Amino acid sequence: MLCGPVVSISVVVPVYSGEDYLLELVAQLDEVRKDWETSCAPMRIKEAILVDDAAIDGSSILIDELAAKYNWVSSLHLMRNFGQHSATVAGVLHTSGDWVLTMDEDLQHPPKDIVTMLRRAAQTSADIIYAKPKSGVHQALTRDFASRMFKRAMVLLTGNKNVSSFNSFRLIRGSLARAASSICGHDTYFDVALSWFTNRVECVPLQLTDQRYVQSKKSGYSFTRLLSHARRMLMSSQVKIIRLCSLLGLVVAGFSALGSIWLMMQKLLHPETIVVSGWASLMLVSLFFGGLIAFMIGIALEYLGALVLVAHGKPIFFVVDRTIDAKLANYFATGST
Amino acid sequence: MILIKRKAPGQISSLQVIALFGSGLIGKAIEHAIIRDQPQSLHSLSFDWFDPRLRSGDAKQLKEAIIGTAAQSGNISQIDVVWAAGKAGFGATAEELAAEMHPFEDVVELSEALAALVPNAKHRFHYMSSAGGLYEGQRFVERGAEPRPRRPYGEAKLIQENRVTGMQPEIVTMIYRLSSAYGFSGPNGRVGLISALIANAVKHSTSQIFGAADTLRDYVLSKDVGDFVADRINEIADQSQVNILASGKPSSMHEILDTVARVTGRRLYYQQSLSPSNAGHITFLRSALPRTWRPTDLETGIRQVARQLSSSFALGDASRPL
Repeated sequence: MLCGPVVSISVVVPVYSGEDYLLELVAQLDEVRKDWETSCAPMRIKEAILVDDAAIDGSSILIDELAAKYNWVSSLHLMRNFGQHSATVAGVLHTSGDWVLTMDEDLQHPPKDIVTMLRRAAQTSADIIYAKPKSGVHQALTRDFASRMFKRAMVLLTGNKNVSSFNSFRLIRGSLARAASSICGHDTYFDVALSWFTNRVECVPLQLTDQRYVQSKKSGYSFTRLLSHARRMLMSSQVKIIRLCSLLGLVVAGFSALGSIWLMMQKLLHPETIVVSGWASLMLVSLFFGGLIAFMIGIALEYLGALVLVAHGKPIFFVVDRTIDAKLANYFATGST
Repeated sequence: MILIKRKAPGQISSLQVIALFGSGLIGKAIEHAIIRDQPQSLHSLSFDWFDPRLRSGDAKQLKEAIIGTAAQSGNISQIDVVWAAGKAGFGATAEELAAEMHPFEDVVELSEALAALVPNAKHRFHYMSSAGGLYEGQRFVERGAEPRPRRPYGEAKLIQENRVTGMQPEIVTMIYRLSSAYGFSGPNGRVGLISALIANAVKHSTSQIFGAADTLRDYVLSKDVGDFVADRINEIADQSQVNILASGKPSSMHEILDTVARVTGRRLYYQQSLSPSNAGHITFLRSALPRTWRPTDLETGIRQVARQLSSSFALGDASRPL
């Protein structure tokens, strides 16, 4: 059936231990593909790139078999385990879709929800759509609480309000996804890099469950990995706390200067009120220079931060073409599901 | 053109003759890959591009050289004619391309004549086509996808492909559809986008970029193409085939600029032209590529080219205009 030009979607799945889930995941993606094809929807899943991040189970062979079975599935093998972010970046750099969808291997992210994310993208002309879990993904109070607290702490430290939305189930405008991936360095946090290009970020509440964690109580995230995430996120961001510290240093230096003036006046006008001589002036000198040094270190760190961002490849500008959104917006406006 | 004579693959006493037309980026890569494999004798013969009369004489001389070899050695088991020539680029006009059809047609006729003159040998014709020309504006190109050229360059390639597939049945035809090739072709070679960006980065010159930053293209290293074609020339293939030689990894202009800047360690100065005629994406599904095809990843390829270009500059060729 000829349905005219379509909006293309590339799916990227980093694979590490997905042997038990991949067959089902690809089957579900195929189902969505076929549904859209038969209903002549103006969008298509044109490719799925399964990135083998040195998988620890039989996933490596399995993804080759899937690539042989489905011509729209490609397998990509990384030389060693580079981590989920690097695998995602590698996959994104192999895509050519109008939109790029990244998702986990373990069916935590249902392919049937892609349409919901697309609808939000079309309705809002957003460049990134993150899935937002309606309830605890892990169905474990402490684990979900820790996850929420971590994100809040990161928002506070980085000053990037989008951090709380970061999720590996994301739909990204293709040009943006590839541009951000191409500048991602060793320590660049992919989602932070995305936020350098756009602030049109939307969230869609979805029912997401980490089946693997629920069944086995084993999470892919250890405390060390969480720390590593935090470090990369801070390294890629202009850390807000540096600015706060330098401001604090300036305030301390300012107060100590005022204190010095006050002390000098006291010494000149009411010398009898100073019972112990030397202590207050020593404190003020220490505070003044301490504050001054903190302020100057803050300035130096600001410069360093700016240089790091240039080294990371933060763009000065980026051009976007959102005209393809109209096709999807029309489709969804007519009440299609 | 270059005439190569060597022991035929898998044979003890018989010879293989390879007539290679084209000394550009791809022609040189094929030549290097062939001569690297095994000992052979190599002769440069003239083949005039512009004058049909001179070309006819050159073709006659070439036929005599091959027949003379057959008479001398007594046994030529394989003759491979490789067409990797062409002066016109992607933006060439129909008139420029029409002029290229004549030498091409003469080489095709030469191959057919050789098939008649040396009937005991296996004959193969290798033709370098252009995936970019045939599939311009198409994404997710699959194996067997229908070519839909958008400009005279692509149309000319399709006509030439049809001429090749229509050759006598005893000639096995091998068509290679290349995506955008990049590489180092020596100090006086033609310069593609990536080589020009590297050279301009080193010289702090401005590059002119056609197309938008998010325009997707597919790039292949000329050395990979040379190796792949040489492997086909080395094997005893008797089935005609069409191979898409692309990397399967789309690269945006943004990515290319960033990679070149990173590899060269220099800032890139460029002027962007938003020419709509050059803004079409061209990408290929990995399942469309031959199984034995192993393209070098883009960054490694760019590093190799940068190193080769640096050596070229060190030899005093930095003043060459790009």
